[in-house]
Amino acid sequence: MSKDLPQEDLLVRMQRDLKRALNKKPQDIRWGMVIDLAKCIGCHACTISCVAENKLPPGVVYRVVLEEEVGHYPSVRRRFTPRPCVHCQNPPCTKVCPVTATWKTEQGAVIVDYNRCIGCRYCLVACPYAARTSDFGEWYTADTPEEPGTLFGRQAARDGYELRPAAEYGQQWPNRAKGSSPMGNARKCHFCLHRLKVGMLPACVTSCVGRATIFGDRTDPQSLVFENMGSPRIFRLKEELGTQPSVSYLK
Amino acid sequence: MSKTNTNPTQEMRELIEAKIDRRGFLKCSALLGGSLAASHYLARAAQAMSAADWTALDVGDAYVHYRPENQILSVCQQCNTNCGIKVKFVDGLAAKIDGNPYSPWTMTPQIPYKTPIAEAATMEGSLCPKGQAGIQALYDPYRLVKVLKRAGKRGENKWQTIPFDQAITEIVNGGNLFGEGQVEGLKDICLLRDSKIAKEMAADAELVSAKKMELAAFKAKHQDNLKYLIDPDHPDLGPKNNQFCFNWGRLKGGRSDILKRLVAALGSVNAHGHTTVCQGSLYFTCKAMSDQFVEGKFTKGSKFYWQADTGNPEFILFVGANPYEANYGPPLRAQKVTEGLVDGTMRIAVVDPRCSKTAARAWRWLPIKSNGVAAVGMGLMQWIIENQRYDARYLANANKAAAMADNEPTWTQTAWLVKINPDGTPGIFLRGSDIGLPKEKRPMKEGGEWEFDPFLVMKGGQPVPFDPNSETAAVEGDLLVDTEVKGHKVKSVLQIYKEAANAQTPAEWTQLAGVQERDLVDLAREFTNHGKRAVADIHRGVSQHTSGFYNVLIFMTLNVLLGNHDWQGGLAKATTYNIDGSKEGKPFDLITHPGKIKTWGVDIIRHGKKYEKSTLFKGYPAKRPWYPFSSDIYQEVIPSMGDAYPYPIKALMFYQASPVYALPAGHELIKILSDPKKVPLIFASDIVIGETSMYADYIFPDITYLERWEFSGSHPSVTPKVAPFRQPAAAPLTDTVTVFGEKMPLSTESLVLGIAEKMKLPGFGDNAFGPGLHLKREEDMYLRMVANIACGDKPDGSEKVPAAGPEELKILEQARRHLPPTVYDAKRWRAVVGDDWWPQVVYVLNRGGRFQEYQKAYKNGQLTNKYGKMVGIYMENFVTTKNSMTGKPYVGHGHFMEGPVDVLGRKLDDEAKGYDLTLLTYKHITQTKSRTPGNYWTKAVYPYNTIDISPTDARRLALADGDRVKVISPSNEEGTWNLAAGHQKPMIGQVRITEGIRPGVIAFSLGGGHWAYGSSDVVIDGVLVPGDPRRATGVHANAAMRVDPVLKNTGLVDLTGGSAVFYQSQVKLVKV
Amino acid sequence: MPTERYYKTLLTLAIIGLVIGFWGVFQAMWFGKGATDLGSYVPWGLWVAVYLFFLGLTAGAFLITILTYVFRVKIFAPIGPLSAFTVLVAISCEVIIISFDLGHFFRAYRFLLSPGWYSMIFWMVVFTNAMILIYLLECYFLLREDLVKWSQEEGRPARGLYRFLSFGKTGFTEADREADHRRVRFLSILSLPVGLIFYGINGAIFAILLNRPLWNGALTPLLFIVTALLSGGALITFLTYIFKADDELVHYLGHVVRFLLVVFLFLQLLQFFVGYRTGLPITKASLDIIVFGPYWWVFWIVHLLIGSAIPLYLLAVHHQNAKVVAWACFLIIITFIAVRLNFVIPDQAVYKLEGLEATFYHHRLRTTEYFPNLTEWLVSLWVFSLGLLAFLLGSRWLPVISAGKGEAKHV
Ligand SMILES: Nc1nc2c(c(=O)[nH]1)N[C@H]1C(S)=C(S)[C@@H](COP(=O)(O)OP(=O)(O)OC[C@H]3O[C@@H](n4cnc5c(=O)[nH]c(N)nc54)[C@H](O)[C@@H]3O)O[C@H]1N2
Ligand SMILES: Nc1nc2c(c(=O)[nH]1)N[C@H]1C(S)=C(S)[C@@H](COP(=O)(O)OP(=O)(O)OC[C@H]3O[C@@H](n4cnc5c(=O)[nH]c(N)nc54)[C@H](O)[C@@H]3O)O[C@H]1N2
Ligand code: SF4
Ligand code: SF4
Ligand code: SF4
Ligand code: SF4
Ligand code: SF4
Ligand SMILES: [Mo]
Repeated sequence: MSKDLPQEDLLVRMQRDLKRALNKKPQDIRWGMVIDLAKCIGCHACTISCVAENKLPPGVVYRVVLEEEVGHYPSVRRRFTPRPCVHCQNPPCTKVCPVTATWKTEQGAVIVDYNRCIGCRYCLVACPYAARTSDFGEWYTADTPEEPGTLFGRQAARDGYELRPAAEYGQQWPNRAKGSSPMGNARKCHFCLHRLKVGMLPACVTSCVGRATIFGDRTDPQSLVFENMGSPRIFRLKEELGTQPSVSYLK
Repeated sequence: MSKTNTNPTQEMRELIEAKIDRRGFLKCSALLGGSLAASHYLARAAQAMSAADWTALDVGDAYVHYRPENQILSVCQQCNTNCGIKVKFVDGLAAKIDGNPYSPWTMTPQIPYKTPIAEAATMEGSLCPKGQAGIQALYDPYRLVKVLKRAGKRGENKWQTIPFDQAITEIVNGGNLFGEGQVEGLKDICLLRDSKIAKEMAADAELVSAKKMELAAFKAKHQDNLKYLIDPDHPDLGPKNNQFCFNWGRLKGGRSDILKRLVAALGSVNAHGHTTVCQGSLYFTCKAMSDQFVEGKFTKGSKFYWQADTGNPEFILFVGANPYEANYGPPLRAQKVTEGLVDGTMRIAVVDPRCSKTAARAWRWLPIKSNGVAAVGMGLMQWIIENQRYDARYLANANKAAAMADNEPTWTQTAWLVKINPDGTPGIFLRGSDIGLPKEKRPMKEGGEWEFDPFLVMKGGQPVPFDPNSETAAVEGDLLVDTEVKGHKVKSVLQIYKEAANAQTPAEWTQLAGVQERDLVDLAREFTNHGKRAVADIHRGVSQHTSGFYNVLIFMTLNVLLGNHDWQGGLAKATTYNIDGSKEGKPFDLITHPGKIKTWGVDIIRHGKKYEKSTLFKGYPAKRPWYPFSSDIYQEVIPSMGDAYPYPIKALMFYQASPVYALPAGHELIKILSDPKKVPLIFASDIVIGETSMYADYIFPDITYLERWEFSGSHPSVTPKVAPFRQPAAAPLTDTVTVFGEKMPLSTESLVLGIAEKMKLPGFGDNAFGPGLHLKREEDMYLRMVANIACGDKPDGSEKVPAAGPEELKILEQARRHLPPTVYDAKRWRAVVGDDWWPQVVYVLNRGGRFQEYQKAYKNGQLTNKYGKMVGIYMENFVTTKNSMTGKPYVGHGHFMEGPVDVLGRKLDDEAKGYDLTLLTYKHITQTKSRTPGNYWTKAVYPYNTIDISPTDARRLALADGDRVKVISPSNEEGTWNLAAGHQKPMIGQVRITEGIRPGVIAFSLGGGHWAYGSSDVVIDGVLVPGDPRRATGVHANAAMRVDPVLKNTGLVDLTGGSAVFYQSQVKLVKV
Repeated sequence: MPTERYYKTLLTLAIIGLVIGFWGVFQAMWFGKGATDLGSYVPWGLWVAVYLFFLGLTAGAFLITILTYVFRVKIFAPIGPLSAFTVLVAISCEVIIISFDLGHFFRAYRFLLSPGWYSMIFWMVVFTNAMILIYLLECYFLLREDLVKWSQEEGRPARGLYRFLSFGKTGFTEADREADHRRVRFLSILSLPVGLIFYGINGAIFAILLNRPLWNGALTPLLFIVTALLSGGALITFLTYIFKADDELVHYLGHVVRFLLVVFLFLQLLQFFVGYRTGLPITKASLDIIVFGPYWWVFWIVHLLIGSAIPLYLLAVHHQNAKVVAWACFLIIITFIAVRLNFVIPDQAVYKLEGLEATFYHHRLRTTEYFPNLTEWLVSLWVFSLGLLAFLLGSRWLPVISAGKGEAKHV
């Protein structure tokens, strides 16, 4: 073992990979993610970063981290498994949509058109990874006091962080109000397309404290994802279902 | 009743045989087939049709976070790691927080400092979940926006909002403020304002305590001014001004400068922080270790500590440290470790009774006994010394010259000779004069002379004298020496450690530690297998014990045995750019304090002073402990007020402090704080009604870390030289007030300036820093500090940062378009630092601080920013100082101490009394002591904390997962928080059974069981403000931690390092 | 014809139900899905179960009309019109309740703008509409003769209505009668394939889903058809008893129901047997939820005891007692909602990934925390009451009964 100074943060490397990908013809890009479980420290930063980036309301989550305890005292280990939408290349969720409000883009991201979705939740039932959640229109600030003049108060706090929906898909959604999308819709991880578009990595990637989340164009041989997909430790969730996730894991 | 009775079976037959029309049947079967075919065909056809609008939704341009003009770079303070952050704004509101890519906290290596901010705008480093959730700490519905004055009894949580000016007037002038009788205001407490009188009295008081002046003589000389003293019979207690006490929890540069400036101007010595609740002994052991031999004394040690250069060791032994969940901190350290673990260049082992997330993936997890942490250290030391696996070459160097010859940045005392007392205990160093060598006169830096009396090592059977600081006369010595020199029994320091390590057999050490002998040997082998690229990295789990100081000293000595200080992959220290301008060549000197009066006297926590040297000396034990070797003893502040020792306090100011919630046995403080007779006036700066500020008479709303300035400094594991800082990012939420004729938000700064203006204190307002340099607004100090950073530390100015170009100047303005003039005004800001410095200042502001390139922090396998001095492991000052409680001298070297003990050094036997579980506490990544209760996002990840227990104990106690249990202890048999004003909060939590904890030990994470901070109802202006149950979940068991049986109102303490003890309380669980 | 008292009580019940239920309807309208206890891991709950319940009710009627007008089984002829009408009412209720379940009901037009040809729900919608259309027409042509007749009767209340419905037709010739019967037969023949696909597809909605412990599999659509026929058959039997005191008919139906019940229980047995023997953890888990879960009684007491054992016994032993048979069928019908709930929920109640139950807490992300809340029950009640009301009014103000008289000779 010999240690040299780290020359470059993986995030910088991946962002270069991303820029390279964005210069390709869109139809030649295939987004992919590899999550290295050996590097995951179970910090949940990705979960919260995603919640914050997409201003997700209570009960809506795109990327959870599953925690398990393995072994018995004193030989105990803990395993952490982050689970975004794994962006199946053969997605069971899109086929069931009665109004084609959800589909796989040519770059392999599985997305939802909030304006089209009628909220039947068939896709939720159909996803074998429980990666979709429905927006029931809840508020984090519900039941907090409104004391104008003495305390900051509910309304101000609400305006502060949950009234305005995030610019998912680069769209400006109307302030959260009865019946306005994405309320009432199925919601899911979208690979942060709004960030990719401007040359930024997905929020769960940049916030990955353990640098366990690798993202890029999996067809680009120079990219870090491509490199990692060659690892003998690679596996995919529920491989047997033939959903062909574009998110893989390293044991 | 049926009327007919036909045979059912026959009917069935009829039914089935009912003749069917052939044609009809054919028709429909055809139809059936047809429609199926049709639907199939349609489906195929459809694919084409719908394919068209499958690309309908293309990604729009509504996402604006990535634009530089929508970002302000600052520093997180959800926890004290202080990661660099990038706050992104949409419509003037903070929309997202990410890592500042210029900051080595969030990337390794961080991006080059010269990267244009437009380019950096699309880059970001990682933050932990708390950091991400900071927006909810900012926009917290329960945040205060107006000054609150209590409208009921202390702690009753009845409040009224009052104008800022009224609050200041009342605090300064006093009066019958609460209808409970007269309360002295600051103007009457801080009586002594004449610097000449102060100077003289201070000097003479010094003489009195040094027994060089008679008390009577003193009284006679100062008879007109005795009125200024707390107690004329004890002039060394200082002036009445000392009866004003300032107590802070979390405080960083900038704010600390302005607050300490206030206390100094008020003439009080009482300004105390929270270090000892945090990792006190870690600081104060390292302080003692960094004492240098200066002009005949061991002194000038700095309050700091070492950590691993986390990215570069081959092996790290984490002891009582949890960098994946807590510590300083996940974004800064975790990634450096995981990287190495996976590419096989690093291994870690974790010594912790609990399988922390750090331990979860470690090469080895050693689940030790809580009291056994030092035993692990001694076991390792024994093996290493026995097998000579230490760096003999390094250890032999007795002084600087020898170290230089070996290209070693530091040297230590292993070879130095120590005189052994008749009773066999090690005493002071053997000196030249002891063996008849002459002393040598030398000039003092500040003028005058001192006598140099050389130290000695043994070399080839001969004592060899040396000067520790000599750069020319290299001296090396034998390591293991036990002999007699000129009738003096002497031992080398390493010999002393060897004997301490041999005090027990390997089997006994492992037994004390509660691990397998094999584990220790494997560990020792691994630890010594990587030369200088192995480190023992320790934190609270080591320091917060009654033996904290020596625990730390043992592990730090293990590092010394490897000689890893200042080596890449070894031990590192924090290095920052000077901000206060006290260095030569800086643009602004912010230390000068015209008209400041001399402060003197024993302070309320009796630190840095020797009991026997004070006029209060009345034999042993003292009424309460004195702390000669540590400061900022959090757990001493309020209990000392309770005991009025050494004198009563009349006014107490809290800043960002919650000792009640934070301290072990914090419930004892409530009794004192809720009694106006004990502390007549309390005012606090807080962002909400906190667990401690709820006992204040006045609460001044502060602005959060996202709205304010603060110079956050660095951490030992950050090897580059840095100067990060918070700057106003979000617009302030508090009311606007006017001080010194300037409009500004309610904040700590306006509180300080308000008091200063009202009392006309020196060093504030016009010409505060000298002619033309006023201090009327926060930026008058803070922007000048930024200028000092921009300038760098080279007197010739060669370290100056580049000037911001026109584009960067424009971006600075645009990015602050949402800030009101009460905070940001382009012209005003520019004027404060002047046109010459402005472009440089902007360059730094735009990057959230100044950061040396990662690559430049290393050179030829060593750190660039070196400690570069002697690393002491034998504290001579200790053996010459007596413990104020036992009257025995302190021990000068690392050794194992039984625990837990009370302040008289007697071992507690609670375990024998049936308190069968040791209570531990730790930090979950989503929680801190405060700020996080309102982070609803992270609540989803961790809705409540639990009481973690091993299956073995659970079985024994017949507990199932999720059972509710009460924590009771010998000093809290009701197992409850007595909140005064008739309120109670029982310590009841849910059991979580986990394999990941040592049997006999239970643990709860910090951050649960709140009773304030928006978790329970309060009344403001007669209106009931309901608490939010989400903020009250979980359990906070600090009140179950052991109260010292002698002190009675304080938790267990480490009398040497000052630590408050968190991990040595025996408790019982009662199912409820 | 039910006695006046009977009718009045049912009518009042329906109206009370509508009034009480409206509170739920309001909640659902105003607060959307947030007003329900549904979540993201159990996205389908009571309303889908109720939907399936109505789906079942339609089937019996469907069965009758098919037997009568396609296979020309004469004995059912008298209740042909009644059945056709029942189908209409039931399907309408089905549509209403499922509309409540949509997050964005007003985007229903999307089915036309961007149809998901691969989606079983899309086809479900298509075929539901087809069914409604067919049965609307069928009903009309079955009733037309009597409508015309009534429109001519002096002093009959609401004559105007009948005049309108008979579109100015004043007399009814044999030719007309023939023509209508031809139309009816054609529609019935058409409804056979449409209906079969309709029920099949409803099963397919669940059957085609991957990685589903109970739903996924070929058995499901078949189970759907059988359960549909069973519950529907039971309903018709009951109605026949109420509206046409023709015990003979009730007996016949009783036998059919008994037969279907046995088949259904057998299929269910198969499902449990195969499920448990394969021992796939998720399958086992969700079966366990049905059998030992917190709502075990729904399965053992409501479904097996009250809904199966008792009726089976009654149908077997008192088969010649029309009253008993009718009430046995009644038990089957009312307990059938239990069968539906046990089909819909336990399958979703199993977490799809280990650890989901312990991460990111929110009650809508916890399968065990779903239990239909007041809103859901009230809305269901409202729809039931609506259906009942429609049915009662129809049976009184439309000639669904009289039209059946002497039908036999025509089929
Ligand atoms: N999430 C989060 N992070 C934080 C903070 C926070 O509040 N929340 N606060 C910051 C601050 S102020 C500080 S001081 C640091 C503290 O950082 P750390 O000291 O690294 O973290 P702690 O969890 O306080 O304690 C470290 C470990 O000591 C273990 N321990 C307990 N008793 C013993 C013992 O007797 N022996 C040994 N060997 N180990 C023991 C605990 O199980 C825990 O895993 O964290 C900083 N980071
Ligand atoms: N059980 C248990 N207890 C612990 C620990 C543990 O691991 N377990 N850790 C210990 C450690 S490491 C430490 S450092 C101590 C820390 O303990 P303290 O130094 O007392 O810090 P806090 O508890 O954070 O108290 C901060 C107070 O300041 C208020 N505050 C928060 N933000 C601001 C602000 O921006 N401005 C102002 N003016 N006030 C603000 C909060 O409302 C709160 O009332 O806790 C210790 N307590
Ligand atoms: S994980 Fe679920 S949601 Fe994501 S693509 Fe696959 S099936 Fe669809
Ligand atoms: S919920 Fe929306 S996206 Fe999902 S299937 Fe229904 S319509 Fe399609
Ligand atoms: S890619 Fe974006 S949306 Fe998907 S999990 Fe990560 S952060 Fe969330
Ligand atoms: S942020 Fe990275 S390390 Fe943290 S939990 Fe998510 S994947 Fe694991
Ligand atoms: S560790 Fe997390 S909370 Fe602490 S400073 Fe860094 S980001 Fe903020
Ligand atoms: Mo701390």
